[in-house]
Amino acid sequence: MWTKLIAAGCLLIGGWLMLPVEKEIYAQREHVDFGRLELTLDVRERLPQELALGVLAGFRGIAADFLWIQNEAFWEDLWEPRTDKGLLFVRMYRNMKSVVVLQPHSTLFWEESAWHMGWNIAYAAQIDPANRTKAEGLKREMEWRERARAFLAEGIKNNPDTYRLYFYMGILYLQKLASPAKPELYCTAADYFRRAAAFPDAPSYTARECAHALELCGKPEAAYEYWKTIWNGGHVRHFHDQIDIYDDAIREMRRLENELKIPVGQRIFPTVVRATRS
Amino acid sequence: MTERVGFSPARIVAVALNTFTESVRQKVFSILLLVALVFIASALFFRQFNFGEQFKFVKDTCLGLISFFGCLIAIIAPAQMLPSEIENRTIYTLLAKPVRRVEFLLGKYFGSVILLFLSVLLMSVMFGAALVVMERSVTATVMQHGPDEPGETLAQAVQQIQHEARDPNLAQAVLLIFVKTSLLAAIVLLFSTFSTSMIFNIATGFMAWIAGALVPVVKGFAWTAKWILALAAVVPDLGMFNVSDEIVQGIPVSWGHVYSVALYGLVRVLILLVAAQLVFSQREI
Amino acid sequence: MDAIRTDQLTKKYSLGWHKGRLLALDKLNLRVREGEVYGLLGPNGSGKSTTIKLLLGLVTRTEGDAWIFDVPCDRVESHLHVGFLPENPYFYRYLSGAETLEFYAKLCRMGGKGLNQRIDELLELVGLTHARDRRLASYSKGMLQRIGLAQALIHDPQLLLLDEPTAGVDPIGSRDIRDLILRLKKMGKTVLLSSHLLAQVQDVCDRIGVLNLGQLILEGDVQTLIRDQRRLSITVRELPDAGRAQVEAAVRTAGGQVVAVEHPQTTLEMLFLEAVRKDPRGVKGHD
Repeated sequence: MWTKLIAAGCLLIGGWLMLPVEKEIYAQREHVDFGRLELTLDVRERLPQELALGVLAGFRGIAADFLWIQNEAFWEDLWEPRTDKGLLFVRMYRNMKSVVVLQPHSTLFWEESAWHMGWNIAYAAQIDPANRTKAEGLKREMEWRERARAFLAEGIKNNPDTYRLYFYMGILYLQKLASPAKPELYCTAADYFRRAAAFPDAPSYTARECAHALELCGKPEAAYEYWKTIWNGGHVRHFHDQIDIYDDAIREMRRLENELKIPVGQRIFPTVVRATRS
Repeated sequence: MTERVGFSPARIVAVALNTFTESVRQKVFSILLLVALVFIASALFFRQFNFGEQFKFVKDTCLGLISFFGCLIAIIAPAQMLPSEIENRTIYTLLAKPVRRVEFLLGKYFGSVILLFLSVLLMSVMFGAALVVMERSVTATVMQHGPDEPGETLAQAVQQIQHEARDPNLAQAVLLIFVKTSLLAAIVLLFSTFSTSMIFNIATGFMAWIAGALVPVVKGFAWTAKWILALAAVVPDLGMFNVSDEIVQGIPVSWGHVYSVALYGLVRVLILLVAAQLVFSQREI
Repeated sequence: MDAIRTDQLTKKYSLGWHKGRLLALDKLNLRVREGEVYGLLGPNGSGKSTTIKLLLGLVTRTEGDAWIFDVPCDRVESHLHVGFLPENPYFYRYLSGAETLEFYAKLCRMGGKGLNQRIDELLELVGLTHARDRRLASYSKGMLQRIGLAQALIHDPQLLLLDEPTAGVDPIGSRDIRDLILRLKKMGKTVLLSSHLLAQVQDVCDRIGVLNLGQLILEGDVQTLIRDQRRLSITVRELPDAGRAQVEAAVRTAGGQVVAVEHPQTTLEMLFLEAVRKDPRGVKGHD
């Protein structure tokens, strides 16, 4: 009897002494918001019972994957002829929201969700037979693109330290939000690409997209300058695929030097000489 | 006749190896064949998704299963060890030899730790194999249909696939899963020192598993009464060992952090073993 | 030096909250001399197993003391020279006979080249050489009992504690075990065995003690105890009825009293053993 009490005391005191250690370990994780999940009522309402238990038992990733796979089935339904598409959109949107609450640091979920909203749902909403007028479809399409933007903005707030979401925001602006009618949004796209390309692990195509967007927003000089900084070693050292980007740089700079009619003396690639000979 | 019987690691090893042999011959490892099937099935099932999703799903599933089956073995193996020793009266013959009770208890514990180590190792090897197979099939798909990402070249896509498939940080996740299962085994061993019922041990083992996962949530409520906090402190925080999600998401976890979590687990195991020995030393068999 | 000595050894088991305590052993004073075979008899629940468990330190004593070769029996050192065979032992079903002995040898920190030879010797002694590499799951009860005995002997102990060594074993098996005990005695070992099968105890034990409800109610030398000093029996062969009347008359004239005249019966055990032994197919069936 006594030894059992001593054993219980040993567990209590041991556990009590471990409390500050546990606190310290969680503090180490704090800087990335690591391992913590505020299981708000909001999320719990959306999670099926079994999943909620799984989440509590530490299988958060699997719970998120499950919701995501469910969304995949909804997505396929988007293209079926059915009349309740509005409901489908809401379900997908809810799942996407839950998934990023469960795993706010999975950039995959943020980018793919934004892609679903900005591309798939937006288009499905535009051609939804439930729309009374064509204008209503266009309005809904724009609303979903805006949701995609807001979603990515939220994602960037949660994951400011990776190039991926900046890059995807750039793509969203470039392909869906900007248009010849709103050329300034190409500049916004270029801005996101520039920030993405500045990360040490960014692939070289982030830089290529940046220069491309700068031209679309009517600033070919800026595009040329951007290529020049890359050529001069600005970002190049970061990219794993340096040779690739140098090839691009040579081609693009030559083209821009011709188009901008830069004096031969100031060119990095004075190919005009060869042109006159031929 | 005044010889002394000292504390003997050799005896602990003998008991541990015997315990391990017994589990192996009870075909514990055949459960793991089932796990292998699920790994392969999951790798095939997720093929319709893009490669980023595929890798995430397969890693989540495989690490989840390693953790789940590891915990299952960590509960069931120690839960039946002492009750079956007592039921078969083998414990009488063992303790009638010049064997200290602490040696017997540690031998039993380390026997299940060896079993857990090999189980987790085997499952990890299967997981690695699943990743290798996936890397090949995904690379072949990308070569055929082109890269997923806008603006990406083939070489970049292949590099990204390799980056996903050969993530050395997965070892951190597996290491901490092993420490977690060893800790759970120590909890169950403690239960089995005062109960002869295997069902009781298994049931309480599962409760400890769930409680251990919930403890960080309970501690999160700052307004909780002090005595509830004290009770919560008794339960080892199993949630602390879950770094799989972060690692799969690509969040860097430092080895220093992994070591301090592992050390935390070891200290917890030590506390539990001391308590278990206290109970066991006075147990009437 | 006594092999076993207990002084007012008492054990009370707690029965749980408010249910009081069970007195399993009451102030036992036991002495087992070196080299003798001592039989502890008594009905079920009389305290035989409790005594053995106390001697092995498997349960803690409530009062009193106990020593094995003068070492207090709650010290692990007291196990150095004790071999123990529990009642109905099972052992590790997944180990073979030889592996079982090797495991117990390791617990006694034995090893090296001599170990294999020792294992073979013991298997030979208990007659299990043919089942050396078979898993214990396939052993019969008698075989388990014998491997249990081999296990108890592995470290060549001076004292053997055998708890119901013949319980559940068929007559041939128990005859084998009885013979083994006698051989051990010849080797100079001390044996304490508990049993409720009185006929067997009578054959092997030098001394017995009878326990009832935790108390030693009778103790002494077997031959002295069972000899009825006031009675005498004469067994004769081929005596005609007239001769019998003369004998009875002679007894009466000499001052004696004839209590019973009957045909002596063989024991059922003798009958059984003889029948089996005569079976031309031999007695291998029990392995």
